[in-house]
Amino acid sequence: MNKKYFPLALAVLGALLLIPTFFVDDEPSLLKIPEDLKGVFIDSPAVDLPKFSMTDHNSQPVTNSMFAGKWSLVFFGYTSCPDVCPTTMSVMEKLNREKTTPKDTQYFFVSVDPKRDTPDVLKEYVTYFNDDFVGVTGPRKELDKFKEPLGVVYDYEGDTSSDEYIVNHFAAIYIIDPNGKQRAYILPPHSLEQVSKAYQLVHSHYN
Amino acid sequence: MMKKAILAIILILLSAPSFSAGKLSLKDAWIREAPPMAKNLAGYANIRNVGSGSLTIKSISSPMFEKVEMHVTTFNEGMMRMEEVTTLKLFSGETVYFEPGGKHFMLIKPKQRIVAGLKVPLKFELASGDTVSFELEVRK
Repeated sequence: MNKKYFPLALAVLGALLLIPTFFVDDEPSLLKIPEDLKGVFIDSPAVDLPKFSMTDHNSQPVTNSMFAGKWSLVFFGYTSCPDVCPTTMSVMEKLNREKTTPKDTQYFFVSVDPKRDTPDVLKEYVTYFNDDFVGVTGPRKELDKFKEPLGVVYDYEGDTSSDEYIVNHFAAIYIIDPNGKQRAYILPPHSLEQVSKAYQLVHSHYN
Repeated sequence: MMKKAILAIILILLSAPSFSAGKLSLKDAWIREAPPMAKNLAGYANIRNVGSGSLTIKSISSPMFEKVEMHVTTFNEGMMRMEEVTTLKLFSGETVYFEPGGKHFMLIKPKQRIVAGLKVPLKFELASGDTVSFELEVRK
């Protein structure tokens, strides 16, 4: 090679090496979850949520901006669910009272049963567990848009024209970061110890 | 005299139960308090057959609920499903655990407000025709 071009070649090579760093977001390293912590999954890279427009339990419209600036724990369920939903809701309530839980945390209950869970019903349900918890619902179309990238599935079993049908649903708790991206999820059945440990790990690693 | 009495008692004990019967026992029996509008509540207990034969729970009822069923929650990679358990058979000495996220009493449509501290009677009807009642305490 001509010595004259050597510095130029070096510069080009250097630039080529730098290119990948321009395209990769400053995504933090993957958080390793200890083996004894079961049912905890990290989304790496974080999952973007589509634009949605739903309603909170005070009948006020809510959009993706409800996640801005705070960490969020989001649980999908329905208020006629006797076993799993109240168990998880009471775990979230206890978590909220733990001293070790980060203070910049908000809690959402998203109903996958908008027919029965009107804002009024939702309000009574979520505020029973905690006055600061927020119930969210919306028409099936918006709900489906919101839940799709999270991987939430649900179906109705029994006569949906009666008030006794069952809703089978994906019952994970989602951890959403202050940029509105899904960072992790925790599979049921939930215990306070499991959710508390997982949330603290995710929060301190990705904050 | 004493010996004869003891012998008589032993003979009575040996001859009386010519059939073996199951006997239901409930331990740590409780109902999770639910929001006031809740249409369904869940009850839990360690259900044990302390009898000498097997027993089958056929149906359950409570004066405080319109209907009581046995259900089981199953998880398949996070997907939660509920199925009705129509009858429950327990062999002698067997314990079945009704606990959150598993088998539970599904208490449908409360007739009154079910608050912590309240004792809720459940009546179990067995396949043998016997009925037996237990109280479940409502807890937060």
